[in-house]
Amino acid sequence: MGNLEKYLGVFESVFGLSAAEAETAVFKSTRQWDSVGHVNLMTNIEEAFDISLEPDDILDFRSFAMGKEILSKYGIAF
Amino acid sequence: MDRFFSLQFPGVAVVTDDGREVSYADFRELTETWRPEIAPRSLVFLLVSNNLPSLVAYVACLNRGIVPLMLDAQIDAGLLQRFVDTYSPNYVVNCVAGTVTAVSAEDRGLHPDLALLLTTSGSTGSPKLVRQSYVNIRANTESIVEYLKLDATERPITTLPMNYTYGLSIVNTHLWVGATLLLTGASIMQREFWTFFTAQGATSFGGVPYTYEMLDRLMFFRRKLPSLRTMTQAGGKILPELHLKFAEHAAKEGKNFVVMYGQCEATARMSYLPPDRALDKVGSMGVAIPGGRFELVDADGSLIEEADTPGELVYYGKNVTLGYAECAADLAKGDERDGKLVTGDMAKRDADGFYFIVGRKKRFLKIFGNRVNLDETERMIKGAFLGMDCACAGTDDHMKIYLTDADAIEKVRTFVAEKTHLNISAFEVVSIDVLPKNASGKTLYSELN
Repeated sequence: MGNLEKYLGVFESVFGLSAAEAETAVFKSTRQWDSVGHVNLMTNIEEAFDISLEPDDILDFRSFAMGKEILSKYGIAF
Repeated sequence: MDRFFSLQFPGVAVVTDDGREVSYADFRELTETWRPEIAPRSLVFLLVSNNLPSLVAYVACLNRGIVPLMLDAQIDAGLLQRFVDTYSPNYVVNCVAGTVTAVSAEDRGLHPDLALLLTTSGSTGSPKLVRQSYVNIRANTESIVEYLKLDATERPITTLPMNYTYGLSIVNTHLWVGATLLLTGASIMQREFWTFFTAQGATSFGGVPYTYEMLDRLMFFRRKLPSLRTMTQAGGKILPELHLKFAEHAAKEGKNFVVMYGQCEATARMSYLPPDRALDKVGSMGVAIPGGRFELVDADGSLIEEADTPGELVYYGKNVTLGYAECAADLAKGDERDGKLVTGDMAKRDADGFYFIVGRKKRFLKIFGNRVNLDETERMIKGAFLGMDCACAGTDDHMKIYLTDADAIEKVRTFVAEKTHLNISAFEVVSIDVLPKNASGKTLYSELN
């Protein structure tokens, strides 16, 4: 499975979003992506990519798009 | 009538996260000129968030003898309508949208002692309210100020909603001593929160167990927060491991970690664990607050005197609220509890007099600090999904819902999350062929799982 599929899969399993919905997902606007949802998203991303996110990156992870940029710092290319 | 909050202080009452500073003098003026059309002893629903208009409205109500029901501005429209139908308020004031809706012009016949109304059980549909008096709020506020040693130099940052008793008690206690409230709608999961925290030199915050789990996740201990003095915890029992971790960190950094216990029915707080005992009494909710006392009672109603013997926790104090309201007529009622609250929590007391919660008599869970009644949740689901049987059980922050219809799992999960306004991750829904029941048709919860 490619990284994009994996990334989309996390948004689907955590928030129940389709690929189209996931691509426009934003913290606090997207249904269920509140503080609690954010923790779950981070945990699931860490598990899916076998990484450990830095606190600053957890705070900066505000959207689907920003998340991709952050993950690239961990060597995950899309 | 004397103002409930004197607001006679020289300093700054509020700093908002857009940088606005409001002095106590200006804040007092805002509360005095707030909605002049609303008369004393009106019943008002306040739809609030952690913003300045909400705080002004709340304080204006208490100072002018207007009785507010505090509700989250994000409240489900259907649930709000249920509250309106049940209590027929004079006004609904939305402090986020800035709108006022006149609903009823009738005198609501509110009891003169009644100061404030709060909801009890999250948003499972029950319109049951807790009736708090001016005496209740004053007593609890003075007690908390005493044991937390609060003064005008405090700068608490908001982490909890003010329609939630714990969040409101932070507001009350700090306005009481002339401290500065740092008001923000941002959560600890947002960079803006920490920027505001550091820029404004926050001295304290409060958190429910889940807040501390999130802080741990954010590697809070690596963060340099020299202004921070005190972290308080309530809204459910924190995991002992997390209690220990935060107590150790606080001890090392010269800060206070204060575990507390309370209920809306006791205004806010009933116990606190003195911070200098946080390390040697891990898992304890501490001792009764100044002016209050506890008893433990066994199943026969006899007092338990022995150490380490579980019984139901009973609290006595002036902060024990008047009682509940379930209909408009109840708002005319006076004190029904006479200073005694049977908490519904099971506890034990160690040989040193410290209390430990060991269980609960009633069927509810604390989810992210919110009380969610399991029977009400069942009724809510059955009402919306006819022809299906269902049972709710589980542990704090994790409700397990059993359904007899496997096809409804996803729908029910989404429905419960939306109705309770709690994150969907707290709800696990599984299907079961038949619910275990006894001869009289009652669900046997112990046989689930």
